[in-house]
Amino acid sequence: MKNTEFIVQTMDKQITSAKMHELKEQLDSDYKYLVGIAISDIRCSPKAILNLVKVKGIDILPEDFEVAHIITSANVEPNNRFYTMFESVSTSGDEITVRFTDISYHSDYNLQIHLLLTNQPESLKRANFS
Amino acid sequence: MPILVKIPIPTNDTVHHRFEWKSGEYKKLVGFFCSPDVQLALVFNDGKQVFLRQFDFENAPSVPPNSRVIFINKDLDNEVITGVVSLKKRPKHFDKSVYLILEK
Repeated sequence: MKNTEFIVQTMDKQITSAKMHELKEQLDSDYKYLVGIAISDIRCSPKAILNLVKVKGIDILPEDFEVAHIITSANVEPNNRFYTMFESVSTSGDEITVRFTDISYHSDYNLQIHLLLTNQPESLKRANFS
Repeated sequence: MPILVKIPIPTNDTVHHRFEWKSGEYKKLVGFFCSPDVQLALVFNDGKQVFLRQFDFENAPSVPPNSRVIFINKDLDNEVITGVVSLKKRPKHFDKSVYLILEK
């Protein structure tokens, strides 16, 4: 079966405190590049921090990146919810590690982080991801 | 291929925070954005060219993340970028940052 040009892989974690939470997941080995990241759960506080987003020891985003820069509400079209302006990382089944802290945590919620994977980064322009 | 570089701005009891950044190996400034709830002033060409004066950056979850960037596509030739971050609210727990989207 032929692969689609891109997929959205979702990692999730129950956030139960204001302490740091760690998420780890194997990326889909059929796709070579991680090119976008999105958080569309508005229960996550805009003061939350992505302390670390790493694949193969390479930082995808700078350390302590404010979630406010990539969090989107339901008003944003799904294809436009991804932040893509970072150096795309070659992956092919590697593990991604995310550390997340919500300093304004007040009740439990399920954090979902969406990752945009593709074999052809240039094809994403046709799908309105640019 | 864009590269995202963070300039951390340590905040303390003062409202205005000056920073300076040298472009070094980077050849183009594609765009930039800033932590929410601050005003940003930005000056290029070693202090000679004012680009922004007290521009408001807000939390904007209804705007696509790629559209929260100010695009400039400015060529860089080993120049110094200076700026001032002014806090609109006193942060209790964390520092502010300016993010530059660059190309080599």
